[in-house]
Amino acid sequence: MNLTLESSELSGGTRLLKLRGNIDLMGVNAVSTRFYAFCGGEAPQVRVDLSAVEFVASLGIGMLLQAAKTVKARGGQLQFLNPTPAVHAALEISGLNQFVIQGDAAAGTGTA
Amino acid sequence: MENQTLILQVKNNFDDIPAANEAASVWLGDRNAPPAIDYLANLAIEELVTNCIKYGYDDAGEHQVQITLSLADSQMQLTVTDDGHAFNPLDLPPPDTNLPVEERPIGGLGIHLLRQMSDRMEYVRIDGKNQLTLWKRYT
Repeated sequence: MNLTLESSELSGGTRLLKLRGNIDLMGVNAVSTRFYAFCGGEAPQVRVDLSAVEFVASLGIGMLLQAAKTVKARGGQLQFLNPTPAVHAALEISGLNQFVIQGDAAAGTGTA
Repeated sequence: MENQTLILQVKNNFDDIPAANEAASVWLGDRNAPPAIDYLANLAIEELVTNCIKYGYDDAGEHQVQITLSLADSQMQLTVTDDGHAFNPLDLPPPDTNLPVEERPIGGLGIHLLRQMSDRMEYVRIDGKNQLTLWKRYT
């Protein structure tokens, strides 16, 4: 399934990015430039909704890791929201579980 | 369960990977393989064929990568065979996933993911070809 990226802004300036589809080679090629652009600026607050992502390959993990590095380097905060069980398992194996939260995409906070 | 096998031939072209994944998913779905098996098969095809294309060849010519997928006795076996350079990815050290994110390198996670999700992986070099196989049991 082709990967799509939708963006919106929550109250307080948090950027909500909704990925939908497979974060594989094709998916990364399709969205990475736009995805990284949302991780710029000063102290960015970025929430990535992964509830509609069915598959993530290592290149996709790399894209998410690069986003986490960029946001952290800029003094911001990044969260991966509501990943599906298979994607959550891949994030856990990859050492990115610390960024995973469960909750309402529009809410101010979630639970780790 | 009777042994059933699907053989796919993929060119060393990234554009061929989605069709191979789709064929594997349809074949596994027709045999009621659970979602976790479908996920692992797709991950293996994506990671292993991508590695072959990226690192396996010096020339720009066409090569064939063979994917052999079989189900028997509630176990999936998937083998990727290529005629690229001799390379055993299982010799690679695992990444340190406990490093702070700012110190983490990008990359090197594909084989790690497969090793963690599979029951077992094995590499052999045979007749001038790399052959990497993984196994996964399911209920």
